[in-house]
Amino acid sequence: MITYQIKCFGVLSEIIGEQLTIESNTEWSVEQLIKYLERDYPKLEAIPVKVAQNNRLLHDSGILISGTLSVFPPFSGG
Amino acid sequence: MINRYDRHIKLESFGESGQLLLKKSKVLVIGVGGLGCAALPYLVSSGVGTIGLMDADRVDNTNLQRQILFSEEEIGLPKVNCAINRLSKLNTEVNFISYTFDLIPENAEEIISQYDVILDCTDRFEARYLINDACVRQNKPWVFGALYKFEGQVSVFNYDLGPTYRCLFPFNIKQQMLPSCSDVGVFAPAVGVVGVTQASEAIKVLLNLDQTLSGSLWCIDLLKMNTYTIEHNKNQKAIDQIKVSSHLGIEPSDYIIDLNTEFNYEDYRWIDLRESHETPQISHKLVKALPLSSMEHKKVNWSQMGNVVLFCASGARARKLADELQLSNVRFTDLGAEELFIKLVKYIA
Repeated sequence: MITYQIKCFGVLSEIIGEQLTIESNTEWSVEQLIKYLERDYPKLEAIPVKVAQNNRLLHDSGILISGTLSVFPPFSGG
Repeated sequence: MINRYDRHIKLESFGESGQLLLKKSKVLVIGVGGLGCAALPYLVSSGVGTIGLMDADRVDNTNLQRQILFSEEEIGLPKVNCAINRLSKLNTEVNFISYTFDLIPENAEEIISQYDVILDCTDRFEARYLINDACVRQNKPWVFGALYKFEGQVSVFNYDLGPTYRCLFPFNIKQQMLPSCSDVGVFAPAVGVVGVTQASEAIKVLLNLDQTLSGSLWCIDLLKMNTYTIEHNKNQKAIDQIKVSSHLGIEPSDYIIDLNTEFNYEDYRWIDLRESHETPQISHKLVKALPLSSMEHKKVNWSQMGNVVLFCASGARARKLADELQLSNVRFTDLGAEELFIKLVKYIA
Protein backbone atom coordinates (compact mmCIF):
# COMPACT_ATOMS: atom_id res chain seq x y z
CA MET A 1 0.00 0.00 0.00
CA ILE A 2 1.27 3.45 -0.94
CA THR A 3 0.52 6.23 1.55
CA TYR A 4 0.88 9.90 0.68
CA GLN A 5 0.91 12.41 3.51
CA ILE A 6 0.17 15.68 1.80
CA LYS A 7 1.11 19.04 3.33
CA CYS A 8 -0.66 22.00 1.77
CA PHE A 9 0.59 25.56 1.57
CA GLY A 10 -0.91 28.96 0.79
CA VAL A 11 -4.49 28.98 -0.44
CA LEU A 12 -4.36 25.18 -0.89
CA SER A 13 -4.42 24.72 2.88
CA GLU A 14 -7.77 26.50 2.86
CA ILE A 15 -9.21 24.50 -0.03
CA ILE A 16 -7.88 21.05 0.89
CA GLY A 17 -6.91 21.48 4.55
CA GLU A 18 -3.43 21.69 6.01
CA GLN A 19 -2.83 17.96 5.76
CA LEU A 20 -4.38 15.10 3.87
CA THR A 21 -3.54 11.39 3.72
CA ILE A 22 -4.24 9.40 0.57
CA GLU A 23 -3.74 5.67 0.15
CA SER A 24 -3.28 4.00 -3.18
CA ASN A 25 -2.41 0.54 -4.53
CA THR A 26 0.13 1.90 -6.96
CA GLU A 27 2.58 4.78 -7.11
CA TRP A 28 1.02 7.79 -8.77
CA SER A 29 2.50 10.36 -11.09
CA VAL A 30 2.19 14.05 -10.15
CA GLU A 31 -0.45 14.37 -12.87
CA GLN A 32 -2.52 11.53 -11.36
CA LEU A 33 -2.33 13.11 -7.91
CA ILE A 34 -3.43 16.51 -9.23
CA LYS A 35 -6.32 14.91 -11.18
CA TYR A 36 -7.40 13.10 -8.00
CA LEU A 37 -7.30 16.32 -5.97
CA GLU A 38 -9.13 18.29 -8.67
CA ARG A 39 -11.93 15.73 -8.67
CA ASP A 40 -12.48 16.17 -4.93
CA TYR A 41 -11.74 19.91 -4.89
CA PRO A 42 -12.93 21.43 -8.22
CA LYS A 43 -11.62 24.88 -7.17
CA LEU A 44 -8.11 23.54 -7.78
CA GLU A 45 -8.62 23.36 -11.53
CA ALA A 46 -7.85 27.07 -11.89
CA ILE A 47 -4.69 26.91 -9.76
CA PRO A 48 -1.36 25.66 -11.08
CA VAL A 49 -0.50 23.26 -8.26
CA LYS A 50 3.13 22.25 -7.78
CA VAL A 51 4.20 19.06 -6.02
CA ALA A 52 7.52 18.51 -4.24
CA GLN A 53 8.95 15.45 -2.58
CA ASN A 54 12.19 15.35 -0.58
CA ASN A 55 12.59 19.11 -1.16
CA ARG A 56 12.61 18.71 -4.92
CA LEU A 57 9.94 19.90 -7.30
CA LEU A 58 8.63 17.16 -9.58
CA HIS A 59 7.45 17.38 -13.18
CA ASP A 60 3.91 16.29 -14.07
CA SER A 61 5.18 12.89 -15.19
CA GLY A 62 7.33 12.45 -12.04
CA ILE A 63 6.49 9.38 -9.94
CA LEU A 64 5.62 9.91 -6.28
CA ILE A 65 7.00 7.39 -3.81
CA SER A 66 5.22 6.58 -0.57
CA GLY A 67 5.82 9.38 1.97
CA THR A 68 5.37 13.08 2.55
CA LEU A 69 4.52 15.46 -0.28
CA SER A 70 4.32 19.26 -0.33
CA VAL A 71 1.73 20.85 -2.60
CA PHE A 72 1.79 24.57 -3.14
CA PRO A 73 0.39 27.26 -5.42
CA PRO A 74 2.12 30.35 -6.77
CA PHE A 75 1.88 33.35 -4.41
CA SER A 76 0.94 36.71 -5.85
CA GLY A 77 0.91 39.18 -2.95
CA GLY A 78 3.50 41.89 -2.47
CA MET B 1 36.20 59.00 10.31
CA ILE B 2 35.65 55.26 9.99
CA ASN B 3 34.27 54.35 6.59
CA ARG B 4 30.48 54.06 6.88
CA TYR B 5 30.70 50.64 5.25
CA ASP B 6 33.33 49.39 7.75
CA ARG B 7 31.16 46.51 9.02
CA HIS B 8 30.62 45.23 5.49
CA ILE B 9 34.24 45.71 4.47
CA LYS B 10 35.32 43.61 7.46
CA LEU B 11 33.34 40.67 6.06
CA GLU B 12 35.81 38.48 4.18
CA SER B 13 33.44 37.96 1.29
CA PHE B 14 32.96 41.73 0.89
CA GLY B 15 36.24 43.56 1.50
CA GLU B 16 36.87 46.97 -0.05
CA SER B 17 36.57 45.54 -3.55
CA GLY B 18 33.11 44.17 -2.79
CA GLN B 19 31.95 47.48 -1.38
CA LEU B 20 33.32 49.28 -4.44
CA LEU B 21 31.46 46.83 -6.67
CA LEU B 22 28.21 47.67 -4.84
CA LYS B 23 28.87 51.37 -5.42
CA LYS B 24 29.21 50.74 -9.15
CA SER B 25 26.06 48.59 -9.25
CA LYS B 26 22.60 49.50 -10.49
CA VAL B 27 19.48 47.89 -8.99
CA LEU B 28 15.90 48.38 -10.17
CA VAL B 29 13.09 47.90 -7.63
CA ILE B 30 9.78 47.36 -9.42
CA GLY B 31 6.92 48.05 -7.03
CA VAL B 32 7.32 50.34 -4.02
CA GLY B 33 4.67 48.65 -1.88
CA GLY B 34 5.26 46.33 1.07
CA LEU B 35 8.17 44.38 -0.45
CA GLY B 36 9.81 47.43 -2.00
CA CYS B 37 9.62 49.39 1.28
CA ALA B 38 11.31 46.48 3.10
CA ALA B 39 14.03 45.85 0.52
CA LEU B 40 14.96 49.45 -0.30
CA PRO B 41 16.40 50.64 3.05
CA TYR B 42 18.97 47.80 3.03
CA LEU B 43 19.95 48.36 -0.59
CA VAL B 44 20.40 52.07 0.21
CA SER B 45 22.25 51.69 3.52
CA SER B 46 24.49 49.00 2.00
CA GLY B 47 25.70 51.49 -0.58
CA VAL B 48 24.30 50.25 -3.90
CA GLY B 49 25.38 53.11 -6.19
CA THR B 50 22.30 53.56 -8.36
CA ILE B 51 18.76 52.51 -7.44
CA GLY B 52 15.74 52.81 -9.72
CA LEU B 53 12.29 52.90 -8.11
CA MET B 54 9.22 52.11 -10.21
CA ASP B 55 5.59 52.49 -9.14
CA ALA B 56 2.62 54.44 -10.54
CA ASP B 57 0.66 54.36 -7.26
CA ARG B 58 0.07 56.98 -4.61
CA VAL B 59 0.21 56.38 -0.85
CA ASP B 60 -3.07 55.08 0.55
CA ASN B 61 -4.26 54.81 4.14
CA THR B 62 -4.33 50.98 3.94
CA ASN B 63 -0.65 50.92 2.86
CA LEU B 64 0.69 52.27 6.16
CA GLN B 65 0.28 48.94 8.04
CA ARG B 66 3.24 47.43 6.14
CA GLN B 67 4.72 50.00 3.73
CA ILE B 68 7.11 51.44 6.27
CA LEU B 69 8.71 54.16 4.15
CA PHE B 70 5.50 56.23 4.12
CA SER B 71 3.99 58.48 6.77
CA GLU B 72 0.42 59.60 7.47
CA GLU B 73 0.96 63.06 6.00
CA GLU B 74 2.05 61.51 2.67
CA ILE B 75 -1.35 59.92 1.89
CA GLY B 76 -2.26 60.83 -1.68
CA LEU B 77 1.33 61.55 -2.78
CA PRO B 78 3.24 59.45 -5.36
CA LYS B 79 4.95 56.50 -3.65
CA VAL B 80 8.18 56.79 -5.63
CA ASN B 81 8.69 60.46 -4.67
CA CYS B 82 7.93 59.82 -0.98
CA ALA B 83 10.27 56.82 -0.87
CA ILE B 84 13.15 58.69 -2.52
CA ASN B 85 12.63 61.62 -0.16
CA ARG B 86 12.98 59.29 2.83
CA LEU B 87 15.77 57.09 1.45
CA SER B 88 17.98 59.97 0.33
CA LYS B 89 18.26 60.97 4.01
CA LEU B 90 19.55 57.48 4.79
CA ASN B 91 22.38 57.70 2.29
CA THR B 92 23.22 60.80 0.25
CA GLU B 93 25.77 58.83 -1.81
CA VAL B 94 23.06 56.87 -3.67
CA ASN B 95 21.87 58.02 -7.08
CA PHE B 96 18.08 57.51 -7.27
CA ILE B 97 16.13 57.22 -10.52
CA SER B 98 12.36 57.55 -10.37
CA TYR B 99 9.80 55.90 -12.66
CA THR B 100 6.31 57.05 -11.69
CA PHE B 101 4.65 54.73 -14.20
CA ASP B 102 4.14 50.98 -14.58
CA LEU B 103 6.29 48.48 -16.40
CA ILE B 104 4.56 47.58 -19.68
CA PRO B 105 5.69 45.39 -22.60
CA GLU B 106 6.61 48.53 -24.58
CA ASN B 107 9.09 49.92 -21.99
CA ALA B 108 10.20 46.79 -20.11
CA GLU B 109 13.29 45.76 -22.06
CA GLU B 110 14.65 49.28 -22.49
CA ILE B 111 14.43 50.08 -18.75
CA ILE B 112 15.58 46.68 -17.49
CA SER B 113 18.61 46.73 -19.82
CA GLN B 114 20.03 49.63 -17.79
CA TYR B 115 20.32 47.68 -14.50
CA ASP B 116 22.42 44.83 -13.09
CA VAL B 117 19.74 43.19 -10.91
CA ILE B 118 15.96 43.62 -10.83
CA LEU B 119 13.79 43.16 -7.71
CA ASP B 120 10.22 42.08 -8.34
CA CYS B 121 8.30 43.75 -5.52
CA THR B 122 4.98 43.76 -7.37
CA ASP B 123 1.75 42.06 -6.38
CA ARG B 124 0.51 40.83 -9.75
CA PHE B 125 1.26 37.79 -11.91
CA GLU B 126 1.06 39.93 -15.06
CA ALA B 127 4.01 42.01 -13.81
CA ARG B 128 5.99 38.90 -12.83
CA TYR B 129 5.70 37.30 -16.26
CA LEU B 130 6.61 40.61 -17.88
CA ILE B 131 9.67 41.09 -15.61
CA ASN B 132 10.70 37.49 -16.24
CA ASP B 133 10.42 37.68 -20.00
CA ALA B 134 12.18 41.05 -20.28
CA CYS B 135 14.99 39.83 -17.96
CA VAL B 136 15.45 36.66 -20.02
CA ARG B 137 15.72 38.68 -23.22
CA GLN B 138 18.09 41.19 -21.66
CA ASN B 139 20.03 38.51 -19.77
CA LYS B 140 19.44 40.11 -16.34
CA PRO B 141 19.02 38.27 -13.04
CA TRP B 142 15.95 39.08 -10.96
CA VAL B 143 14.87 38.44 -7.40
CA PHE B 144 11.32 37.23 -6.90
CA GLY B 145 9.32 37.75 -3.71
CA ALA B 146 5.64 37.03 -3.04
CA LEU B 147 3.26 36.53 -0.14
CA TYR B 148 0.10 34.82 0.98
CA LYS B 149 -1.15 35.92 4.43
CA PHE B 150 1.62 34.72 6.85
CA GLU B 151 3.60 32.86 4.17
CA GLY B 152 6.27 34.08 1.78
CA GLN B 153 8.30 32.80 -1.18
CA VAL B 154 11.65 34.10 -2.48
CA SER B 155 13.78 32.93 -5.39
CA VAL B 156 16.44 34.22 -7.79
CA PHE B 157 15.63 33.74 -11.46
CA ASN B 158 17.64 33.90 -14.67
CA TYR B 159 20.97 34.01 -12.81
CA ASP B 160 24.10 32.06 -13.56
CA LEU B 161 22.35 29.89 -16.19
CA GLY B 162 19.68 28.95 -13.62
CA PRO B 163 15.92 28.56 -14.07
CA THR B 164 13.41 31.34 -14.73
CA TYR B 165 9.90 31.99 -13.37
CA ARG B 166 8.41 30.25 -16.41
CA CYS B 167 10.48 27.14 -15.60
CA LEU B 168 8.58 27.03 -12.30
CA PHE B 169 5.19 28.27 -13.51
CA PRO B 170 5.25 27.99 -17.33
CA PHE B 171 1.61 28.83 -17.91
CA ASN B 172 0.27 32.33 -17.69
CA ILE B 173 -1.46 32.55 -14.33
CA LYS B 174 -4.44 34.86 -14.39
CA GLN B 175 -4.66 37.17 -11.37
CA GLN B 176 -8.31 36.29 -10.76
CA MET B 177 -7.37 32.61 -10.23
CA LEU B 178 -5.84 33.39 -6.83
CA PRO B 179 -6.76 35.76 -4.02
CA SER B 180 -4.72 38.97 -3.57
CA CYS B 181 -3.55 40.71 -0.36
CA SER B 182 -6.39 43.21 -0.69
CA ASP B 183 -8.85 40.27 -0.71
CA VAL B 184 -7.44 38.13 2.09
CA GLY B 185 -5.04 40.35 4.06
CA VAL B 186 -1.33 40.02 4.70
CA PHE B 187 0.81 39.89 7.85
CA ALA B 188 3.03 42.99 7.89
CA PRO B 189 6.17 41.35 9.35
CA ALA B 190 5.97 38.61 6.67
CA VAL B 191 6.22 41.37 4.05
CA GLY B 192 9.30 42.68 5.86
CA VAL B 193 11.03 39.27 6.04
CA VAL B 194 10.44 38.57 2.35
CA GLY B 195 11.47 42.07 1.19
CA VAL B 196 14.66 42.08 3.29
CA THR B 197 15.51 38.59 1.99
CA GLN B 198 15.12 39.91 -1.55
CA ALA B 199 17.58 42.73 -0.78
CA SER B 200 20.00 40.17 0.66
CA GLU B 201 19.77 37.97 -2.46
CA ALA B 202 20.23 41.00 -4.73
CA ILE B 203 23.44 42.01 -2.92
CA LYS B 204 24.72 38.41 -3.08
CA VAL B 205 24.06 38.33 -6.82
CA LEU B 206 25.84 41.67 -7.32
CA LEU B 207 28.90 40.44 -5.39
CA ASN B 208 28.73 36.96 -6.88
CA LEU B 209 28.58 35.42 -3.39
CA ASP B 210 27.99 31.70 -2.94
CA GLN B 211 24.70 29.99 -2.47
CA THR B 212 22.01 32.28 -3.80
CA LEU B 213 18.42 31.09 -4.20
CA SER B 214 18.96 30.46 -7.92
CA GLY B 215 17.25 27.10 -8.62
CA SER B 216 15.61 27.12 -5.19
CA LEU B 217 12.29 28.43 -3.94
CA TRP B 218 12.64 29.51 -0.31
CA CYS B 219 9.38 29.39 1.60
CA ILE B 220 8.60 30.70 5.06
CA ASP B 221 5.51 30.56 7.26
CA LEU B 222 5.71 33.24 9.97
CA LEU B 223 2.70 31.81 11.80
CA LYS B 224 4.05 28.27 12.20
CA MET B 225 7.70 29.39 12.04
CA ASN B 226 8.50 26.82 9.34
CA THR B 227 10.95 27.35 6.52
CA TYR B 228 11.70 25.01 3.67
CA THR B 229 13.57 25.22 0.40
CA ILE B 230 12.44 23.44 -2.75
CA GLU B 231 14.89 22.85 -5.56
CA HIS B 232 13.54 23.22 -9.05
CA ASN B 233 14.98 22.60 -12.48
CA LYS B 234 15.52 24.67 -15.56
CA ASN B 235 13.14 24.21 -18.49
CA GLN B 236 15.17 25.20 -21.53
CA LYS B 237 12.15 24.86 -23.81
CA ALA B 238 10.24 27.47 -21.76
CA ILE B 239 13.26 29.82 -21.89
CA ASP B 240 13.74 29.39 -25.65
CA GLN B 241 10.05 30.14 -26.16
CA ILE B 242 10.43 33.53 -24.40
CA LYS B 243 13.29 34.46 -26.71
CA VAL B 244 11.26 33.88 -29.89
CA SER B 245 7.80 34.96 -28.64
CA SER B 246 6.23 37.98 -30.33
CA HIS B 247 4.82 39.07 -26.97
CA LEU B 248 6.35 39.88 -23.57
CA GLY B 249 4.52 38.80 -20.42
CA ILE B 250 1.06 37.26 -20.37
CA GLU B 251 -0.19 36.72 -23.86
CA PRO B 252 -3.91 37.18 -24.40
CA SER B 253 -5.49 34.03 -25.87
CA ASP B 254 -6.71 34.39 -29.46
CA TYR B 255 -9.56 32.00 -28.72
CA ILE B 256 -11.45 33.79 -25.94
CA ILE B 257 -14.93 34.93 -26.92
CA ASP B 258 -16.43 38.22 -25.84
CA LEU B 259 -20.01 37.71 -24.62
CA ASN B 260 -21.11 41.30 -25.05
CA THR B 261 -24.69 42.49 -25.19
CA GLU B 262 -24.80 42.11 -28.98
CA PHE B 263 -23.77 38.47 -28.76
CA ASN B 264 -26.12 35.94 -30.35
CA TYR B 265 -26.06 32.85 -28.12
CA GLU B 266 -28.14 30.74 -30.50
CA ASP B 267 -25.43 30.78 -33.16
CA TYR B 268 -23.19 28.57 -31.01
CA ARG B 269 -23.09 25.09 -29.53
CA TRP B 270 -22.00 25.28 -25.87
CA ILE B 271 -19.66 22.53 -24.74
CA ASP B 272 -19.54 21.81 -20.99
CA LEU B 273 -16.12 20.31 -20.17
CA ARG B 274 -16.87 19.78 -16.50
CA GLU B 275 -17.08 16.35 -14.91
CA SER B 276 -20.53 14.81 -14.34
CA HIS B 277 -20.40 15.36 -10.55
CA GLU B 278 -19.73 19.11 -10.80
CA THR B 279 -22.56 21.45 -9.94
CA PRO B 280 -24.69 23.15 -11.07
CA GLN B 281 -25.87 20.52 -13.54
CA ILE B 282 -26.82 22.29 -16.74
CA SER B 283 -29.55 21.03 -19.03
CA HIS B 284 -30.16 23.21 -22.07
CA LYS B 285 -30.89 22.47 -25.71
CA LEU B 286 -27.70 24.23 -26.87
CA VAL B 287 -25.40 22.70 -24.23
CA LYS B 288 -23.55 19.44 -24.78
CA ALA B 289 -21.69 17.77 -21.89
CA LEU B 290 -18.22 16.51 -22.78
CA PRO B 291 -16.37 15.73 -19.52
CA LEU B 292 -12.63 16.01 -20.15
CA SER B 293 -11.82 12.83 -18.18
CA SER B 294 -13.97 10.79 -20.63
CA MET B 295 -11.44 11.68 -23.34
CA GLU B 296 -14.40 12.01 -25.73
CA HIS B 297 -12.98 15.33 -26.89
CA LYS B 298 -10.17 13.41 -28.58
CA LYS B 299 -12.72 11.68 -30.83
CA VAL B 300 -14.64 14.82 -31.81
CA ASN B 301 -14.05 16.21 -35.28
CA TRP B 302 -13.94 19.77 -34.02
CA SER B 303 -13.44 21.49 -37.37
CA GLN B 304 -16.78 20.01 -38.56
CA MET B 305 -18.67 21.14 -35.46
CA GLY B 306 -19.68 24.61 -36.59
CA ASN B 307 -19.20 27.44 -34.09
CA VAL B 308 -18.69 26.17 -30.56
CA VAL B 309 -17.82 27.74 -27.22
CA LEU B 310 -16.07 25.66 -24.56
CA PHE B 311 -16.73 26.33 -20.89
CA CYS B 312 -16.00 24.79 -17.46
CA ALA B 313 -16.12 25.97 -13.82
CA SER B 314 -13.58 28.78 -14.20
CA GLY B 315 -12.50 28.81 -17.85
CA ALA B 316 -9.11 27.19 -17.14
CA ARG B 317 -9.85 23.82 -18.79
CA ALA B 318 -11.76 25.52 -21.60
CA ARG B 319 -8.87 27.86 -22.33
CA LYS B 320 -6.37 25.01 -22.33
CA LEU B 321 -8.36 22.93 -24.81
CA ALA B 322 -9.15 25.90 -27.11
CA ASP B 323 -5.47 26.90 -27.14
CA GLU B 324 -4.52 23.31 -27.96
CA LEU B 325 -7.04 22.90 -30.79
CA GLN B 326 -6.20 26.25 -32.43
CA LEU B 327 -9.36 26.26 -34.57
CA SER B 328 -11.17 29.41 -35.60
CA ASN B 329 -14.59 27.83 -34.94
CA VAL B 330 -13.68 26.68 -31.41
CA ARG B 331 -13.65 29.43 -28.80
CA PHE B 332 -13.84 29.44 -25.02
CA THR B 333 -15.32 31.64 -22.32
CA ASP B 334 -13.80 32.34 -18.92
CA LEU B 335 -17.26 32.78 -17.45
CA GLY B 336 -18.03 30.13 -14.86
CA ALA B 337 -20.72 27.54 -15.64
CA GLU B 338 -23.24 29.07 -13.25
CA GLU B 339 -22.86 32.59 -14.62
CA LEU B 340 -23.00 31.32 -18.19
CA PHE B 341 -26.15 29.31 -17.56
CA ILE B 342 -27.93 32.44 -16.27
CA LYS B 343 -27.01 34.20 -19.51
CA LEU B 344 -28.10 31.29 -21.71
CA VAL B 345 -31.48 31.12 -20.01
CA LYS B 346 -31.88 34.91 -20.24
CA TYR B 347 -31.05 35.19 -23.95
CA ILE B 348 -32.52 31.94 -25.29
CA ALA B 349 -36.13 31.10 -24.68
